[in-house]
Amino acid sequence: MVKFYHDEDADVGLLEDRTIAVLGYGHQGRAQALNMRDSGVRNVVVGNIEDEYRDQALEDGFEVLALAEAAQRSDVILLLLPDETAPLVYERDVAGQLLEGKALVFASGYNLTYGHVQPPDFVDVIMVAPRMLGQGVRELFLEGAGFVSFVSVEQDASGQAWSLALAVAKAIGSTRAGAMELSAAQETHLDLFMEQAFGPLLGAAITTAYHVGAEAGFLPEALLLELYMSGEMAYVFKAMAELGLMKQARLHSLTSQFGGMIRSMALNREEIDRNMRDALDDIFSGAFAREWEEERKAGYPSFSFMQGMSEEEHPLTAAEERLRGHLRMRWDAIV
Amino acid sequence: MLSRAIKLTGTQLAPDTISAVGEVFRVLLWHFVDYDLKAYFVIGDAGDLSFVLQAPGEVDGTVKLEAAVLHDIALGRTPVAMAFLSGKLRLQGLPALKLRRFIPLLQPFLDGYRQAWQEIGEGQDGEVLP
Repeated sequence: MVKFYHDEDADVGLLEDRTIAVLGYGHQGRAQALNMRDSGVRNVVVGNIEDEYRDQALEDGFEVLALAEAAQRSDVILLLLPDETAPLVYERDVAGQLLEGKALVFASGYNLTYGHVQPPDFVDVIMVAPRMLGQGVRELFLEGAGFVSFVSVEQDASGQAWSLALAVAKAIGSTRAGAMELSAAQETHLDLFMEQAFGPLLGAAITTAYHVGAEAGFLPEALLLELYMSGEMAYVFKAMAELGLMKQARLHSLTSQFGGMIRSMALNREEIDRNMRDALDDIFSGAFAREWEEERKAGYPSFSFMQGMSEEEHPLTAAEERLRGHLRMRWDAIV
Repeated sequence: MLSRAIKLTGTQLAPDTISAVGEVFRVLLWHFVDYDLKAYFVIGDAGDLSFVLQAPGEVDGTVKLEAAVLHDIALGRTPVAMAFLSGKLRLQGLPALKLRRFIPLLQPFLDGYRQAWQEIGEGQDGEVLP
């Protein structure tokens, strides 16, 4: 059964006498550290290497320590590091500082699910995974709105892990909207599924529509406005969340509804279905995680090539630039 | 031309890289649709690379494109991403995770093609697959 937790289910006071370390002051780290402090959590320290994020943390008024020192000084350790960096930092700076009574908090289940981080059995292991970019975590908190998180307790050594998980979720501002209970494995598999099954299809739909449309003689700028740059599509997604996927269809013209529905029914979904199942097989079996780890160890040869491809000149990017020069829009007013 | 290109490709790659690719596929069909030419890119047991016109075994995947598109990509006239996104370069039957092993061959192959093209004098006036 689906279980949601809200503000009334959580007590930030549980964090009062504890030192909280935020390891990594990137997008999530900064947003969560600032939100916790604004929620009244006083003992927040930041652990970070010497880089521009460290400077930002100092500028924001936090005590900034070396990663190992922050882990050593704290009772609750939030590992807000990229998935590919976290295992290294954990082994080098955190594992040796863990004592009974301490808690580890992850913002993603990836490293726990695939065994890249294996905490000892005497610490609490918690996941609080916002379903929002770091920037949104901070902006929505400041607006008094909320954002959803997946929360789980992977190991309850203290007997208080759930209370602690909810306290952290509340302190970062997530229980305002709702924190949903979901295991780290489910969060990981679902996250990867969306990234590898849904995301590529959405991207392919946009780029294919652009190329086919441009070839048919549509102005690139007009195509991009229709696809995403007018903000109409963002508004439709917002309406999907507010009204429902089916009900929002009523907001569109009858012509639009008829054309969309008839083409949707005629769509050959077999290959889409197969691709999604293939992706899931690789995610569930751990094959994807193993390949990604091999890619990392090899120095990212394929990933670098693909990143280079995405930075190549593309007529779509040039059209976006031209279009931005013409538009006077307030994007924040749309979504 | 393709044979020379693939020979040059082999000289640019470490044996380990070729072996890693050979673990996941041995035969890749290159279908040049404008010539309706099918050439089979083969990784041999000894880690050698070749292009042949008869399939030596089961085909692991297909690269489908016009020879002119390959030519333009190799000579830097068309970005690889553009060829993919516009559907001019299509991969079929290659599972995503096998694709990761294949990608490191792409740039050396394009370099090999360019070098082979230069060797034959850049002068075939539009004939991109002499």
